[in-house]
Amino acid sequence: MKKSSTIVAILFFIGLSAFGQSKSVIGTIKEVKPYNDQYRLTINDTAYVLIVDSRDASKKSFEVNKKYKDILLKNKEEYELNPKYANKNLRVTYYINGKGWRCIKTIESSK
Amino acid sequence: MIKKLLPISVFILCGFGLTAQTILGIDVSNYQGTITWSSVRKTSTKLFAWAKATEGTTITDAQFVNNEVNGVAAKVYMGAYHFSRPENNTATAEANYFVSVAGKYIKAGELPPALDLEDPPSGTALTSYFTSAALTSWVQTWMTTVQNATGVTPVLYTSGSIANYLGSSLHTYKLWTADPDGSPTATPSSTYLGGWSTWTFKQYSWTGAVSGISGNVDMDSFNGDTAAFFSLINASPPPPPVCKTFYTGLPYSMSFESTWIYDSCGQADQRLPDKYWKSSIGGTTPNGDDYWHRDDYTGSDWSTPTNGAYTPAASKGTYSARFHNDPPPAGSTGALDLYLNLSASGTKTISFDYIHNELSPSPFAFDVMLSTDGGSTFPTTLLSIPAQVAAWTSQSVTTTVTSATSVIRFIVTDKGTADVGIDNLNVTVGPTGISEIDPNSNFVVYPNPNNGTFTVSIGGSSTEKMQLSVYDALGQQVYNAMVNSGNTQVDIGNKATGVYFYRIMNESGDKLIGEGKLVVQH
Repeated sequence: MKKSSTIVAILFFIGLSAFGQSKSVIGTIKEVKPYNDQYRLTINDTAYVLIVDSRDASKKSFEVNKKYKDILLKNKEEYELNPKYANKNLRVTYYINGKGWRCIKTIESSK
Repeated sequence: MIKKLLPISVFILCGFGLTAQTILGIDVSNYQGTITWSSVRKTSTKLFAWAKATEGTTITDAQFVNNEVNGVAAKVYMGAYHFSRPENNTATAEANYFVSVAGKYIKAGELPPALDLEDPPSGTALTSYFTSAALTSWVQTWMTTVQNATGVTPVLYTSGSIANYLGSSLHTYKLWTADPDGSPTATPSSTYLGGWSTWTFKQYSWTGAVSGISGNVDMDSFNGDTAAFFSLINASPPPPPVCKTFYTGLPYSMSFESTWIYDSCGQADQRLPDKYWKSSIGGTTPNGDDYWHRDDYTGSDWSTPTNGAYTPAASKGTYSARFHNDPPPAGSTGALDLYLNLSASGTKTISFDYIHNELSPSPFAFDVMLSTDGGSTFPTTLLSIPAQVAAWTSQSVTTTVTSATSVIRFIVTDKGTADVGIDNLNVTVGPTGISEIDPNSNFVVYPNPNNGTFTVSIGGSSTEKMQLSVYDALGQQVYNAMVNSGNTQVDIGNKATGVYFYRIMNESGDKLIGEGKLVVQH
């Protein structure tokens, strides 16, 4: 019992160390706007930035986990929220980049 | 001003000749908190930095003065930038506010001021507030006002979407483009350049990590060589650093255990085991991954230093010298040069341990080369090692050159995925002033290596006595006895692990029967 508690504590510490800079928020995406060549998603009245993968010459993909790469769909010249995620409660992890932006790292369903 | 460049590796003048490197920098604001600028400068290759000075007409960045003063003190070329809020204020008002705060830091020899033009924090696109002509006019007014007040032409930082929106009259200003593709050298696409024909600075990452700064930081690069950079900041390029050269005498040993040092050419990273070494990269496509370092190095030279690591990390002790390649493009090469005074007569033995656990990487070459003219030329290849040596293996080679300006070069060309290691290096000079070995003698020493106890077996039936001596790497005699033909047991088990030399002379000491090297391992 003691050993397993120690192991759990160590794993918890490692987890904190490895992902200490990631924060998370749960909410629905209310608004999507282009923002400095990226996309600004409003969740709970706070802006989160979805980073365009600039290594992709087509600029059609985002730096987010694979399952949610379709979070935005292109409509004419700009992207908008994929309807299948509208009003869905999502858990978004993010980090603060050098510009102070809350940059989206992963998106998951939050039930 | 010259002092600023001396500690940085903009050019490497040793070894292969001139190798240009990309001039790198960062931009910071209060988001980065209090920055330890001495660490930024000392442990990275960041030559320049922009610090946020002002925003709109009322906000002064809380860290601006700290960043300017301490950055300059740390010999970083500093600049001030203004985060514009055109949707709220006139260009003249913002320019005047910026100059009132940052003006005294703007001068020749430092970065020019910069106008940061981007979508406001509200999220409403800046282009929705202005027509293209109106926004162009706003920017033009700000640039002109700051230039008139400071005498320095500002540069313009902006995103691709805004760059495309601005009028061509602004294309005379140098562009600092925001293209976080992770590459300091890749040319931004026209999407990012708008109507500009080229870029001057590129913000290539928003998630950089730099020693002395907590959290993420923006990374920037300059599109040009050193001369262009110093022309831009209106300063004379400093002369290239003078590389001091130190020649070690013999014997010389290097275990690679101590922290490696910055070199006398002012290179920015810990690239030398001690002052008798120099480091250089070359080939067709050199990059930082080609520099040798102690195997546990994690500085800015190497990308993904865990890739290619070998096991165990050292043949002796804890650390070794490691050539990292992750992988470099074909043809890139890294050299580690040891400067030696080999003027003493006698045979010099260079021994070291080697590992490269990779089968048939292509291309691959590991050579130990010799220069007798201070490293100007390396006409002699002393040793070439095959690609795969799966475990630490002792290597040894001898030379009889007597140049006081000798250089032994360990040079690798490798495109594979496993790194190359060397360890436990010894350069020794054997006994001197002896006559030729008696061709009729025959002898064998076994086992070798041994634990200090070994047998010297001398053939023949002569009854004449012979002198058997053993010397350590420093040339100190550790064993001496008169022996006869046949087997003689020698015990130097009380001596330390290392390389020793034995010599068998005739009784009168004027004829060499035999000599050689033996290794004692406890």
